[in-house]
Amino acid sequence: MNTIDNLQRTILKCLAVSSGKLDEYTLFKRSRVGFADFSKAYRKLKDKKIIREVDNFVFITADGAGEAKKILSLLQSKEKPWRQIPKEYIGEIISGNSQYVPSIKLLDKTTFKF
Amino acid sequence: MVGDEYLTVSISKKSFRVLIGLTKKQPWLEERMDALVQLIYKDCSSQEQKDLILELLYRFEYMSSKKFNDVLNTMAEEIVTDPDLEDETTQLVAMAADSSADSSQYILYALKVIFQKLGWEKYKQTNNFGRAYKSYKNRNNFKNLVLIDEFVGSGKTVLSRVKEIRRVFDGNGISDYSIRVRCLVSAESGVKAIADEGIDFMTQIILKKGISGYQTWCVVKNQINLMLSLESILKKEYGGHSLPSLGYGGVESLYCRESGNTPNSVFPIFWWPAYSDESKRSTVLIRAMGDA
Repeated sequence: MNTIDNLQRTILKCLAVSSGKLDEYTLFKRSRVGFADFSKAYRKLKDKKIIREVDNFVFITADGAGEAKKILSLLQSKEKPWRQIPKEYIGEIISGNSQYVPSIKLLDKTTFKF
Repeated sequence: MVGDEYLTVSISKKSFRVLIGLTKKQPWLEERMDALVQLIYKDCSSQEQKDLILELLYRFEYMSSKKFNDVLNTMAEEIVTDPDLEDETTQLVAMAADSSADSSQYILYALKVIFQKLGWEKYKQTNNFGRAYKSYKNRNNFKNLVLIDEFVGSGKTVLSRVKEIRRVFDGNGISDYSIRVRCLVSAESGVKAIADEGIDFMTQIILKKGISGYQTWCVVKNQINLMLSLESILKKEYGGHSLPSLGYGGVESLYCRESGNTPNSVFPIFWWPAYSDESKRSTVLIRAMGDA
């Protein structure tokens, strides 16, 4: 079972965007996770050999690089499927010079002199 | 105040280093963060007290369920391969004396399956030491008594059990019986106390005294004084029991099993539930105070 939960993903993401190397404390601060949760997720990541720690510095392992890549590609992906508007909500696009009936209330009084 | 650091997001680098070093070695503390922070940053009133607490926590023997299982299996194997013990004549006796639940009974139950796997079926299980004679009398086969317990601290309990069993058996004219004591974890002082009485005793893990077993005598003197001054913030008496300073029998234990009841020979600063002003303590270890 090598599923990586959200807390672990958060921490791995912080590490991944920092060129895969970070001081433990900095990683903790940047992840913005509470201490107990950080300690747990941090340990699990180490046990799964996704990250390794040397002298208070944390590195992503070769095995962990695959997971990190998945996360980074999600971040850099141009596609934002959640931003795509369904057809039925898109209104009619009016071209620049087409005629339309203005609302007098919204017109500037001095420019249009009325 | 330093203790409040944890409650907001900002823990200083120094505190972080201390806490992460501790949770790396003792992951079980992650579940007791509030109590840990209180112990280190509020209960301790000097850096030396803090250093002592950290040193002791780092040294703690916290038995995980997995390790418990491994150690239990080894204990069972040693019993089964004892050249002078056989299935048909052995009686496994829990150290328990009264009607409340005891970890020796928990162990006895856990051993059922293990013994079956090891090929023993005919031995007798007795879940209360007071019934050992009755079990023997019912069928004179079960004459080799193996007293079982999870943890031995000062050894006082073991000695009194053995003394009582001998009194009953000898008093009834029985001479053909043997007593062995087997446990998972024992404090060094307990091992010595039991060996001094010439009792056949084996344990899987031996623990030295938490302070006295690790330092030179002058450091010990200083650290014991620090611990005593720490204990002065605790209520002297709780539920009819008086505070067992430095752990019951002065054993200075640093042991607890995952999901188990904390032994009273552990330094009370880690589990005593009340301050001298009667207010409640949130503690890193928990002990059922019904029979403290």
